[in-house]
Amino acid sequence: MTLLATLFVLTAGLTLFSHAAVIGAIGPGVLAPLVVSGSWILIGLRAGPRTTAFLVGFVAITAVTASSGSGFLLPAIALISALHGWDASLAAIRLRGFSRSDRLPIIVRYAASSVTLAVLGLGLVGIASSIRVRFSFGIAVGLALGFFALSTAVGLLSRPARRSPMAPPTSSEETE
Amino acid sequence: MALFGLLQRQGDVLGMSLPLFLFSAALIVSDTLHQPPRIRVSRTFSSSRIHKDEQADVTFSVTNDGPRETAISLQDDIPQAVTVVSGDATLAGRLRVGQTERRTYTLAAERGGHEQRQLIGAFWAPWGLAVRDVALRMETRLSSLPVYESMRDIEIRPRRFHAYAGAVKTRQAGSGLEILGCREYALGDDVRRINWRASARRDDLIINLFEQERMTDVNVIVDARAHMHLQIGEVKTFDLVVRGAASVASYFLRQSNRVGLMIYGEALTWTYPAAGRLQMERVLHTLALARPSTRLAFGKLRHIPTRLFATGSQLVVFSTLGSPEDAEVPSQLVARGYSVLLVYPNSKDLERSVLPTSPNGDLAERLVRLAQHATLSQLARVGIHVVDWNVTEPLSVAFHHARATQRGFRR
Repeated sequence: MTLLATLFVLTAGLTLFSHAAVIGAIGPGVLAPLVVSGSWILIGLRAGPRTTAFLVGFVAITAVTASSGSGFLLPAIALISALHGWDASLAAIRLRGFSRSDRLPIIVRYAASSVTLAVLGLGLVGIASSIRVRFSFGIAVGLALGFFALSTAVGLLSRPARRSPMAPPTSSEETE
Repeated sequence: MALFGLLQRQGDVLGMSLPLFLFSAALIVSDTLHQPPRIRVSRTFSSSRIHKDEQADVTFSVTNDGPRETAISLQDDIPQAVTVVSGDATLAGRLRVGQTERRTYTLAAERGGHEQRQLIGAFWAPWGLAVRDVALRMETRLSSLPVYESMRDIEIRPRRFHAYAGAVKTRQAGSGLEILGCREYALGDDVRRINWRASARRDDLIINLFEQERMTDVNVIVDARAHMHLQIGEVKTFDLVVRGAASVASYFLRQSNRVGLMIYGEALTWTYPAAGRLQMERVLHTLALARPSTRLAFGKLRHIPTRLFATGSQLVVFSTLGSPEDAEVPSQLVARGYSVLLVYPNSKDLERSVLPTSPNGDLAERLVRLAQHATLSQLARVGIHVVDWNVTEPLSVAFHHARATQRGFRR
């Protein structure tokens, strides 16, 4: 799983760096490898939630880079890779200490889901970019409110999804 | 990202925030549809009671009682003082409906009671990315009891005995095995006791008197004050004292005596005197949990609550008597009517083995040994049976030396 996370993070870094090099943006070109190196080190150290800070940083750099208006494909790939790399790094912590043969079925299934979702995300970005809407004040306010509502809903609903419930088991038995 | 896109009025940037929403939505949907599986877990030991230096095999099994296949990653709760010697304490993979997976591993444990409370890990959604952290409660307890050695011939002279026959000599005439003395035959005496040789010499009937052997109360007191103990390398003198106390308690219980145990230091851990195998288990479990303590309330040995001990009973004290004030305590116990056997865990040889040799070091060691000798001699003079135990040797050797020295003095 650590390997998967590393692959995603490296893809993110290389893609963003390539994009920055193509458009000649010095800031993102320097920052992207730094952020990726930091993420890589944290994944190696199994630092877990601390990689979140790097994801936020990476998203910010990607947004700034993409705002230059010189293509969206590479920044989108970078963004999606960073997101899935971050998630895989957290999942890797949960599989720490397990034997390779035990982990493999879980990793395979996770990787399949993760890659599928990444491809879907990329497709969604492609579709979105083909839609041409003239920004008016009303549309901008509507979209802002829509995104705000969506963000709030996602924030509220995603809490139980990643919380450690420490709930009692559905069934357990004590034997001595 | 979306906000940034809106502020910049950039559709591409705005569109790039969609994968983030897609990811979150996928996570939420996956988690909502992913019901926690019904998992049954159990843990069994080859033996839930081992002695230190022994190992126990642990098997835990996980059964999927739910209606659908599930993916799990679980690991057993390994307490701090327990090490997995071999095998695997983790289990991950997919479990089909009704399938049971087992893992066996071997544990070695430090002295003490070790609780394994749960299996911790995660349930993985069969598709999607949702992971649900879980802690499956399953409390079991492994006791690692102290090892004890087989002791022989510990001589005690308590002042009070029980009415039941035992193995402790009472210095009173009665039914027993060892001859206490002789006297003239009186009407009603058992003719089988007549000493015919002595009768022939005295020209009168003389009978043998035998020493009564009775059961008594023996209270073992372990001084668990932390500053009385030291650790050199892997060797902890407190562990050696615990082992010694277990050996002594085992000996007296085998002799059919009632044995009580007090751990003086961490709290007042008191095991009420009783006899038999069950009491040996109680004593071992108490000793297994004993730890050196720095509690100020028990900083001085004179606070031993003597009212817990039956008057005239035998006390076996394991202590190095850290201060002159402590050194007076055994004498005070004798003055209150107890018989005291002081086992003095002498760690000087152990300390010497790790200290560099120097003239000053040698002089200091001699001074310390002289001070110890003076203290112990003083205690012996007031009727305390002192066993100077070099902790690098077994306790039985120390008792053997003490017995030999006493016989030498008697001669």
